[in-house]
Amino acid sequence: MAETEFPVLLATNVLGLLPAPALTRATALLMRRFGRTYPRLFRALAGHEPCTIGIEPTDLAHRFVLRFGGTPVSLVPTLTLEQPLNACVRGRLATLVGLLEGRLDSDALFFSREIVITGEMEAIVSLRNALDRETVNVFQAATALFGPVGHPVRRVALMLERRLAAAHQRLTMRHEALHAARREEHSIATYCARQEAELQALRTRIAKIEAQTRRRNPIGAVT
Amino acid sequence: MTRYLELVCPAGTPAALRVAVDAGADTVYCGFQDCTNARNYPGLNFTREDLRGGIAYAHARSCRVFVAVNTFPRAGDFGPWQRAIDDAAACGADAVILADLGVLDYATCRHPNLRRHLSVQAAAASPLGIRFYRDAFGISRVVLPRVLSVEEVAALIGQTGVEAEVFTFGSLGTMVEGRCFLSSYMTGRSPSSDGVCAPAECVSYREDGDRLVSCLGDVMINRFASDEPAAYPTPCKGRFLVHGRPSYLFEEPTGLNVIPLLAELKAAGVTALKIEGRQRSRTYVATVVTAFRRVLDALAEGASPAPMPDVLRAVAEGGRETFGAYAKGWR
Repeated sequence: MAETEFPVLLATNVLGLLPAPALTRATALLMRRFGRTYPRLFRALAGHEPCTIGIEPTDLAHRFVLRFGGTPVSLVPTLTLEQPLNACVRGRLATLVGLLEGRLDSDALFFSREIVITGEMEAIVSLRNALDRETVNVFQAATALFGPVGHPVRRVALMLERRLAAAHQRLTMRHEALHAARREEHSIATYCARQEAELQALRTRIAKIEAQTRRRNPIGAVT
Repeated sequence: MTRYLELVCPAGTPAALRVAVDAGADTVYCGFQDCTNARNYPGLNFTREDLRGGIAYAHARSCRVFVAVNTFPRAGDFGPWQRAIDDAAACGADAVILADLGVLDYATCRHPNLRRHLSVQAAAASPLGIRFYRDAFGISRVVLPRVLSVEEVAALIGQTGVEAEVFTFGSLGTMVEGRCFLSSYMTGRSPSSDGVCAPAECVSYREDGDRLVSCLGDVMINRFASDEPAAYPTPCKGRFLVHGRPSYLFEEPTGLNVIPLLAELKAAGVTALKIEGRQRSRTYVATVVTAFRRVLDALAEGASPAPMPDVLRAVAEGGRETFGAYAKGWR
């Protein structure tokens, strides 16, 4: 995996474990870093009408509220998206990060329903176009928060991501094997049931034939 | 290598322009951040400074830049269109893409040495019409509407002697371009004068159970089942109830892709291929331009292009592709 890619498995696990206050603090720091690294992006968003967008990663317990326009750009984690929102974006974390970094085409993801966008489109279109002007790198910005040890942190994170990916692959294969075995078990059970039904049908048929024979040949039946 | 056909690529942002140039575009087209072009969406398009930088980047890599000033001025408000023409010329654009007679006349008189292309928004689809624009305004090229078959394209080129640019990939437009008012009826904003069909501020999506509902203003445009590809919320791509049954009356959500017809289009005398999508992301631009560059280079070398991967279908609207009117299956 190239260093520019986002370690999504690691991020999903870490974000899932972080308590809400720690996640809030980390997100605030990350946004401050983004503001310094991408001032043009933040200026473009600041010029927009006040806007609140819900971000809903489907593979995380946390939701996020992004605010821009009028106030400084902010991203705040939350457990539910109950407040009034202008729009909401839902999708897998890897997809959402890919969109943020401009590596994925939002229209194509929308057509294929890999992301679901609801609400007012003006804010979403403005945000998408502002992001598309920049080359945002979430992983680099996140590891830069560690200051001088940012580079080793990046290396360790990528190593952990590789291990997690390998473990994930093993788990997927075992899961698949287990399902295959269940499918096999299921097919044997179906086969037995069918055989039993056939046997029962044959028994009934033999009984009928015997009854007919007895009716036609009562003496023989007696003897 | 001999150029097979000129590849004209979209750029909605300076980043998309750089991506298009790097991916092998011969020409990039773009527009200013206002109503003077037909992709006037929030956050999209170029400032004057963006355009100067973009042109410098492109020219340094032997790529041309065209500027679309292809909407129709509102009565009594010609200023933005004049400024757009003057600034495109001052920034060093290689051509301007125009539709309105007044704007064409202004560009002809003020900047006679600036190439003038006739936009698809002019909907010029007859030899008489194209010859008029050629004789009156010296247009060097016409961008043909997406309603013509390959045979009709060939006939037009033969009868006009004007370079022809045709759409080869992206959203379809089977209405009379520049004269479509469907969106205006619903939103009060005109694609032809405001440069925006289905303006973003009028579009909303909501979930209705497991269905996704798209609305333009107060009008429901479409309702997609969970396993159904979604589409743009434009009226022409809406589903309408006819005798109680919902169906696409104008266009189905599908994308144009005429790669298998490129040899036929070249034989018809086409000069340039246009990829639609200034409103799309830079990833879309990179994907489509790279694919077309590969195909055109293979054709230029006399080789058969490799079968197209699914990447183009993946970025097409509705995840489906069509030859559109070029094959005229729908008539």
